[in-house]
Amino acid sequence: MSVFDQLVGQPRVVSTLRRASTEPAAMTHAWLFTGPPGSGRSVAARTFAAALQCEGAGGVQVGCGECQPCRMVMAGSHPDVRVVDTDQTFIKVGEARELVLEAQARPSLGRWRVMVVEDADRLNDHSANTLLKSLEEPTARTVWMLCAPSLEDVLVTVRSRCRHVRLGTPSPHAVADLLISRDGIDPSMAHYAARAAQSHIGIARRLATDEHARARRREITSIPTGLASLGDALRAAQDLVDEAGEGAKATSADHAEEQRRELLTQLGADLTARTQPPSVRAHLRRLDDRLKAEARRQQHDSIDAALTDLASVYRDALLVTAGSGLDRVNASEPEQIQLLARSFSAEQLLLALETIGEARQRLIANGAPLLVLEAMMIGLLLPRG
Amino acid sequence: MKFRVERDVLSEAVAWVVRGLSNRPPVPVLAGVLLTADPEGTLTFSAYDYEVSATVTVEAEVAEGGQVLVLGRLLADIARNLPAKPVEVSTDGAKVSLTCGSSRFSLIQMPVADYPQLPNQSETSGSVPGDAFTQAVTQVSIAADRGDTLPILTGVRVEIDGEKITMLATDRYRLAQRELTWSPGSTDAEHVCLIPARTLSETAKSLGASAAVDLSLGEAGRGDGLVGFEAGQRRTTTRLLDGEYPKVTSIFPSSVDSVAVVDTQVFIEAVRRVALVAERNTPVRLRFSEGQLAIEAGTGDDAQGSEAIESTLEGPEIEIAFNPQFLLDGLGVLGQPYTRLSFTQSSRPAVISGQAELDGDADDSYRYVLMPVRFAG
Amino acid sequence: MSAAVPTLVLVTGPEELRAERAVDSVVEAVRTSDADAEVVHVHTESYQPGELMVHTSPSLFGGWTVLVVHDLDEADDALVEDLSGYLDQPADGVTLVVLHKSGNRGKRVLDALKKSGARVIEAKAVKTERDKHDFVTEEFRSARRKIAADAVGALVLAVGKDLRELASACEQLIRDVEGLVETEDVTTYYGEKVETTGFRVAEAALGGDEARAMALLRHAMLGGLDPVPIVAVLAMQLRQVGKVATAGRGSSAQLARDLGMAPWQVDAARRASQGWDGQRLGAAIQAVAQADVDVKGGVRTEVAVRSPEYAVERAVLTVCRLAQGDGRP
Repeated sequence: MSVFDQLVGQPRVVSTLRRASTEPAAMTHAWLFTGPPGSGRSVAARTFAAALQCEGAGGVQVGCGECQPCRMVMAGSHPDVRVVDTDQTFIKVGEARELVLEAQARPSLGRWRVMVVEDADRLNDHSANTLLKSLEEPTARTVWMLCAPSLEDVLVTVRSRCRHVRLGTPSPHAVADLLISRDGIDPSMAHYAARAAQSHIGIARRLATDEHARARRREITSIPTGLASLGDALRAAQDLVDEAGEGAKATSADHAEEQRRELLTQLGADLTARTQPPSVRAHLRRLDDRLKAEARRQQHDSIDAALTDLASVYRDALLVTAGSGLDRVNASEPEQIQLLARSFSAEQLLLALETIGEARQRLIANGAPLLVLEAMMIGLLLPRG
Repeated sequence: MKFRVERDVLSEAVAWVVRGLSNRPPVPVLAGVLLTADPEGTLTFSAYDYEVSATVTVEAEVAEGGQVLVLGRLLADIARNLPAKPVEVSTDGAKVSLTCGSSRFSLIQMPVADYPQLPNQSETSGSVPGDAFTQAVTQVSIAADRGDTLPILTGVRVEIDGEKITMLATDRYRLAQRELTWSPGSTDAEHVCLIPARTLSETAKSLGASAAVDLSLGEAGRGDGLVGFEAGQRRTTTRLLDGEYPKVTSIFPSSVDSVAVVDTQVFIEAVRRVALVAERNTPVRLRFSEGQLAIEAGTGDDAQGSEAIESTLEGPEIEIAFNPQFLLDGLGVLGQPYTRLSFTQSSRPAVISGQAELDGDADDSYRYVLMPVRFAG
Repeated sequence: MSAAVPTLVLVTGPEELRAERAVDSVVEAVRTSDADAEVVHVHTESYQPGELMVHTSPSLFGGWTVLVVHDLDEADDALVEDLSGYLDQPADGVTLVVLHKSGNRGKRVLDALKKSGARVIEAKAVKTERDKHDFVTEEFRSARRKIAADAVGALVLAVGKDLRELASACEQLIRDVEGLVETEDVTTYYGEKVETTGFRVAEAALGGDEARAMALLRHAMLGGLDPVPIVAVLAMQLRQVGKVATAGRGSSAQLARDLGMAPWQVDAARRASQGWDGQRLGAAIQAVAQADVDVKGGVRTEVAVRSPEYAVERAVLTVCRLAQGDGRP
C-alpha cells in the first residue's frame, strides 16, 4: 500500500516524486503538475505532499498511506499542507498575498510546509507577480506545488520557476492492471474495459463491473453499422437520450442526499431538523447550486460519453483504412470495424467524425439533445449500395 | 459523556477558546470546539485553526468521561445567554444535550475522528509577568511590517538570553525594541524565534490579564515550528515564521548630538492636528530650537498646518521630517509622560524613548527608532 | 559606492527576459559594492501617488536601494509626475531603474532620464528563428559550454516558442548534461514537448507517410497534447518548405540569412521539399490554414477541446495525400 498507488499508469511521475521525497538532492521547492482533465494532477500533488510528510517506513515505502501524516494529507486535514482551490475566475491578489505570508511559516507538525495551488491557470498577472518571489526562493522548508491543465495555461514567469511534472493519460494496460489488482477483475475483462474506456479509470471500472454499462456500450458501438434507414437513425437517437436521462437521474438523487448528509455532519448541524440555522442554510444553498449544476452537467456528460464511444468506432475504422497497426479502442468488435471500414471511404469516415463533433458542439451550445442527436444520426447513415 | 459545570465557567472557557476561530476555517471541521471530560473532575476545551491552537481546562463534576466535538461559536452563543445556574451536559445519541434551569438545547456532534490532533505543548521554558508581556508586545508589534515584500518582517523577533527577553520588530522604516526580564527555567537559556506579530498581539491580549505567562519554546528538531503560551489553565500555541531575520544591531545610532524632551500627550495631539490637514504620505517637519518645537506639514510654500509646543533641547538645533503615522505609532505606545528624542543629523535615524520626569533619566527598556524622510529643503 | 554603480538606468525594449536580466545585472553591480542593497519593485497598475517618495526615502537598514519601475509605457499621470519630480532632485543611495517596452507614453520621463545621463540598456526582441538560434548559442558560450548545431535546432523547436523557457531549458541542459550537448540530450529532456511531436507529425505528413503520421497524431492526442501547437508546427514546416522550395539555389547559409532561418532548418526544408510542387504545397498550406481556424474556433468550450482532433486529422491526411501526389484526399 502506498499513496502513489493512486497515480495509475504514471510510473515516471511516481519515480520522480519518490526520489524527490527521499533524496534531498532530487528535491526542489517549486513544482508544476500538468495533465489533461482526469489525469490526476491534484492527486499527484497531494500524494507527493503525503510522501513528504510521511512518517512510515521510508525508503521505497515513502508515502506509506498508513501513518497519521499520510492519512491527514490525503484527507485534507494536515495543518502544514494548504490546498488552494478556487471557484473564482481568478485567484485574487489578496489571496495570493495571504499565501505568501503563510508560506513563510514553519511547518508545525511535519517536515515541510506545502502550498498546493490547484488552479494555477487562474493566477492572473498581478497575483502571479505576488507569488514570484516566494516561488523562487521560499524558506528552506516550504514547497510550492502548482497544478494546471497544460504548460500553456500558466504564466511563463510562474512556470519557468517550477520543475515541471507532466501527467499523461495512462496506457490502457496500466488501467487494466489497476482493475485487476485493486478491484479483482478478470484480466480479459479488465483489458477490454480499459481499452473501451480509452483509459478513463472511472469509466473502465464501470464497464468492467456493470453488465448494464457494457450492454449500453455495445449498443452504442453497434449503432454505426445499424444505421440503414431514417427510422434506424431516429430510434438510435431516442434510445441514447432516454438512457442518459435515466442514468443521470438515478445517480444524482443518491449523490445529493449523501453530499447533504456529509456537509451537515461536518457543520455539526441537525440532520433531521426542519429548518437549519442561517449559517448552515448558507452552506446548504451553495451545495444546492452546485448539485443542480452537477446534474445538468451529468446528463450532458452522459450523452457526451456516448458520443465519444461512437466516435471511437469511426476512428478505429479510419485507422484500418489508413493501414496503421495501432491498437484499436474497439478491438473486441473487429467485424463491426472491418464492416465500417469497407462501407466508408477515409473521407466519409472523416465526415462522420465531423458530424459527431458538430453534434457535441451543438450540445454545448445548449441545443435540444434529442433533436441534435437525430440530426447527427441521419448524417451518419450508411452509404447506399 | 456527562458533566455539570457552572454557567460562568463554561461561558468564559468557551468564549476564550473560540475567540481566535476563523469564520472561514480551512476545513469545516475546524469550526468545532473539542470538549474532553475527565472523570478526575476536569473539563478541557480545545480549538485549532492550523495557525493558532487554544486549550483551557476547568473544573467540573464529571459523571462520565468522554469526548465530543460541537460547533464552537454556537456553543459560545448559547453559553453566554444561559441563566446563571449550573449547566448539565451529556451525550444523547448523535447529539449533545445541554440543560440549564428550564432551558434545554440540543447540539449536533461533529465527527471527532476527523478533528486534527492539536499540536503538543512542549515543556515550559520560563515565565514572564502578564502586564509586562502585554505591554512589550503592544510596543513592539506596531513596528512589524504588514506587507508582503519581505514576509519575514511581519514577525516579532524574540530573543532570550538568560534572564533577558528582547523583542524586536521593524518594517525597515522604523524599529521597535523592548527589553524585559523574566524567570527562565534555566539561567543559561538561549533562544531566538520569530512569531507572527498579528497572532502574538492577539495572544498577549487574551492572556495578558493573568499574573504570569509561561512560554514554551520547543526544542530543536520536531516541534520547533511552534511557540506555546500558558497562563493558569489557558494554553495556546502559535506557529512560527522561518527564515533569516535581517541584522539590525547596527541600526541603533552609536552617538547622539541633540536631545529634546517634550510632553508626550501634548506632542501627540499637536502632531495629530498638523497631520490632519496634510495629504497622505506628506511628512511632518519638526524644528527643534531652545525651548520650542515647531511642527509643520506640507512642503515649502505649501505648508498646510503648523503648531509650536514647549520643548527642551541639548545640543545643536535640528530640523527633521517624519512620516506622521509612524511617529504617532511610536508615541502612542511609549507609556511614559515625557518623550525623549535623540538625534544625530536630519538624515539619520532618530531614537524615541520615554521618561517619567521632564528632567529625569531616560527609560531605555523601550526604544523606537524612526527613519526620517526626505523633504524638499 | 564606486563609480561603476549607476544611479539611473533605462531599460528599453519589449523582450521581458532581457529586461529582467538587465535589471539583474544592475542589481548585481550594486550588490558588489553593497551586498545588502535592497530591491524594491514598483508596478504601474498598483501605484499610489507619493509611493516613489516613500521608497526613495532611506530605510533603517541603510544601504543602497534599487528601485525598479516597471512598464513606464503604461504609467498613469501620478507616476510620471512623481518620476519627473524625482529626476529633478534624485536621492542619495538610490539606483532608479525604469523599464519601458515601447511607444510614446512616458516620453517626458524618458527624455529626462537620457538628459540626466542614465545608462541605457536595450532589451531587443528575439523573434526570428535565427534570433533564437543565436540566443541559444550565446547562452552556451557564456557558460563556456558546447552544444551541437542540430541540437540547437532541436531545442529551439522544442521550447523555442517562449524565450524564457528556452533560457531555462539551456540552463537545465548546461547543469544536467556533461560535455557536449547533443540532439539526443535535447530529446531526452524535452522530447515530449508538443512542438517536437508536431514536428514529427509534420515530417511524416510531408513525406506522405500516412500510417505513421496518423499514428503519431493519435498517440500525441491520446497523451493529451494540445492540437493547437501541432497545427502551428505543421504550418511552420509547410511555410519553411514553401519558402525554401521557391527560393531557388544558393548556399544554405545564404538562404538562412535571407529567410531568417537557421542553416540546419534550410537543409531540413530542402530535404522535405523533394517530390512536392508549388501547387500541392499551396493546397497543403490552405488545408492547414483551415484546420488552424477550426482548432481555435471553440477552444473555450469543452467539446472543442476534443473536436480539434478532427481538424488536425483532416489536415494531416490532406497533407499526406497531397504528398503522395493525389491532389485531394
